[in-house]
Amino acid sequence: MLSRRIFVSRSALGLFSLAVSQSFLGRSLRALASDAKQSKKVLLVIFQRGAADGLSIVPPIGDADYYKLRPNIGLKMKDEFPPIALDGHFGLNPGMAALKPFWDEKHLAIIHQAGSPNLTRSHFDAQDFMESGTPGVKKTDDGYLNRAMQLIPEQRKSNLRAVALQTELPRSLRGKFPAISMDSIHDFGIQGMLAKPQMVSGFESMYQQATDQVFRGVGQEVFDALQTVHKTDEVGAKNKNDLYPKSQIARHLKEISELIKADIGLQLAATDVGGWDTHVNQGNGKGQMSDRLKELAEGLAAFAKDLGPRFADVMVVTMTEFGRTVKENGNRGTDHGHGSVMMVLGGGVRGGKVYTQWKDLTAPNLFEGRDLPVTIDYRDVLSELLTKQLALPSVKDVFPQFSADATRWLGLV
Amino acid sequence: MSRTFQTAATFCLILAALGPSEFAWAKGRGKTEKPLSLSERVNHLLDRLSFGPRPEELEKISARGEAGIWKWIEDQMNPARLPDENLAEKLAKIPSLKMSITELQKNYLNVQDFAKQKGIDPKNLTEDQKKEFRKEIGEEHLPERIVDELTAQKLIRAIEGRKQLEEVLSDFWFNHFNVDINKGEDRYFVTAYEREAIRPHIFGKFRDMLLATAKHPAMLFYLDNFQSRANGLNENYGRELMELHTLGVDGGYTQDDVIQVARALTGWSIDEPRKNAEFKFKEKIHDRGEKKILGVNFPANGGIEEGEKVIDLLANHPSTAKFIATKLVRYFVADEPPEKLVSRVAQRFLKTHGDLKQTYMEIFKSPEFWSRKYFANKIKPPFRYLVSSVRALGGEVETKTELTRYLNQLGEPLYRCPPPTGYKDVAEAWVNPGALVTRLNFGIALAANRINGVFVQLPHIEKPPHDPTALVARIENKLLHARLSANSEKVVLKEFNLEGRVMADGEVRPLSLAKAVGLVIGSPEFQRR
Repeated sequence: MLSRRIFVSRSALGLFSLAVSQSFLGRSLRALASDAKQSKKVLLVIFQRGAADGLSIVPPIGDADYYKLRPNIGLKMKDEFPPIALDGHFGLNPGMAALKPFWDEKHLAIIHQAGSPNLTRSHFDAQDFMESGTPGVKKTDDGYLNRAMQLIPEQRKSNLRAVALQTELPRSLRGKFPAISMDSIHDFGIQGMLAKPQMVSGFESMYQQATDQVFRGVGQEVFDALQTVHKTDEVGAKNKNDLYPKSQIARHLKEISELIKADIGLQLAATDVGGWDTHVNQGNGKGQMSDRLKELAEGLAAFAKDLGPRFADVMVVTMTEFGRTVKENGNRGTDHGHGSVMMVLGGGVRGGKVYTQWKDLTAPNLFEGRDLPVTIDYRDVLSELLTKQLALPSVKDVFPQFSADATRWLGLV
Repeated sequence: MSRTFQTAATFCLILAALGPSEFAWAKGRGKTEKPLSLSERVNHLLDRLSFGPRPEELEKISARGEAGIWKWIEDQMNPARLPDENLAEKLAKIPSLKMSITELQKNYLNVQDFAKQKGIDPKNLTEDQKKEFRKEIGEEHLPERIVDELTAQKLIRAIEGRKQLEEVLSDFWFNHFNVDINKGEDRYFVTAYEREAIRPHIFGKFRDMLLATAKHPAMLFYLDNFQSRANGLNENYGRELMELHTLGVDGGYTQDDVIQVARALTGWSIDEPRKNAEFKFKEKIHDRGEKKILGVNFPANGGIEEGEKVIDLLANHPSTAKFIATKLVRYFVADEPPEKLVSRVAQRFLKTHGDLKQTYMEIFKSPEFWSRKYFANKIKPPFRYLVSSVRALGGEVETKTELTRYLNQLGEPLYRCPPPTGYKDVAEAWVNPGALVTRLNFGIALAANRINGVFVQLPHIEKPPHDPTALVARIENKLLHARLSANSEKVVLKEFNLEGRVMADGEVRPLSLAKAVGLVIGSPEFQRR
């Protein structure tokens, strides 16, 4: 009997003789599609790096203090680019207009005053704590999503169950579980004039037998994944579409959608989107912040449309390391704060609702008298989503030092 | 399971988890590890204090024995002793490198300014208009060109320059005081920033570099301090100054310290960012009130000297010494910096008031630096991987090179790291499947001499021996200095032994040679330094 590794390396040879492999490819795709009938839920975690300002994403348009504290960058209904009213109290940045239909169809939920309870205002520390899943503990080596993947039941045999679409594996996905990161599935292949099959198996042998543990591990992930990604790539190439706007986040979303549609067993996807550290000229319904939101929202809307019926199986959650000061600073921007906004988008979401424990923006209700407080712990949100979407059996080891309590869950799903 | 067996099994597991160097230590409890041989020491030296050996370099240093090592360090610490006419000549051909900020702003026009000069409102330009204007300005004069030339400069210096330690350290310090050239006007400021705020202080005092960065338009713009005012405070720089440049995040400052430092530095600004981008202390927007920073009182009306005193306070703070020492030891020795060494280096830093030469020497002279435990244990970040490969093959690089594309793909575009933290200096940041595939592809392309703007010679073996084993050993020794594992060596040899290796006249086919070299560059062993 062929061992799995030998099977993989033999199939890897097929990669480089495309003419022969076309029919093989057709066969395996059909085979893949037929046994993918079972549960095939996917969770996509988007990290907004740089501390995104929740008050500009979902402005509290019914709060008089908001306008007092933000005379220049507050989003006003009488502006040229006014916020889109969601309910009497909250609005949506007009940059997010593409997501309004999802709100109307109750596929978009907003969580306000969400975040990590840790007090730091350092980007790096806050991201690190959030992604380790242990706010305040610096010694945690692995990330909470990786620990979750170690426990989440496998929906089908796959070497691409957890993928980050970006060059660097996010902190949250680091750890024992073989999660893979790549900036593009289309570039994930060994190419070039010398890249003959024996050369590729040569590399494989070198990495397979490396004494270097780190490279042995990553090498195995590469050679296992090459075959699968290549199949996906073929599907993607067939499904060329112009739904997506031009931006890095949109490109990453497009490729995630290709992975989902290829039914290769993807369960957890992650990607980052940057540019939220708006200390200066943040803008209101128009400007820097709104532009970034537009890229994200239009990318997500295209992603949902692209997924078609598969959108029902997919859940997207956004998070950021902390929010920003409630009061605008001296440069029509905002400085590092505390609570912010998370969003959950998906076919199965109980949306059309802002989940929050909002009081108002008077000083006693603010964190240290200046920032939006954190009244909803991001770990509760992720606990619920990982449990309900990916059948995580227990959140205890995913978020240690955190009393798991399902009664705190918001009922997002 | 018996208790003894369990213990033995655990011990074996621990051994299996340890690398070969730790194994040696574990086996010979009490025995000291095997010291590095002379050639290993030279290899280590060149892998850490330079961007990797060029052909013959290792042999040249080794020929003088241990003295060769220390002479090399001595020379590198005093780069004036290393005239480099070839490099100077090559860099002189890159126009933007010597220009002042004002000259750069004049010579490299963005589309918006170009439109304004033509009397067209730059806000309503169509895509077609933008395209047309870009054409009119000409590729040579678009601001992107500045970034390309600055990147080329760094690649050329690292690949071909003699002043290797200076280059390695300039990489370290730029990253420490990171600014992102993509942030607005910074595209015009970063060339001067590296040239005037970073490079001149690499072998000087930390305090001087800190002050130079604090007053440079590039930093003032990047972290927004140029527009922080008494009645409109911006905390951005005040925070990063303490968190990232000096004390470190656990260095003992509070949110109130952030605010007070930001207040002290109000008025540290740029005269006119678009016209006369020079440091200017703007008294009118300076917060003249009294402040208390890290327990030190600063009376009212401190003026510009107040900010300078804050810089002094931070530069000479014990937390800063520890933070800088940790980063340097991580850079030169190990991802997990050995604590005892960090503390000695921090002491040296404090005692010498941040004399950087003496601080570096504390590391280079330490037993930890030369310990087998840390030999070849650092992973090459993308820039270093590319540069060391080209150096190993005695390569040269042109101003316009495809290496930049590889740097982007591997996640380390030069001068374009958006967050102020700079690029990470630990393995986790750089080892992942996507990046490994790109590294393998790079090895293949480089060996085939298929990277635009780079020329390598395959390899420096003028008269190849006809015995393949000997030839592979030569390739290996030239490139890797015998660090290839037995299995990796077997793979290269196998590739090399395939039919068609030898041509009719008995010479080795260049293609076979290229494949062997590609495999070595892509090998796990060559990913480390």
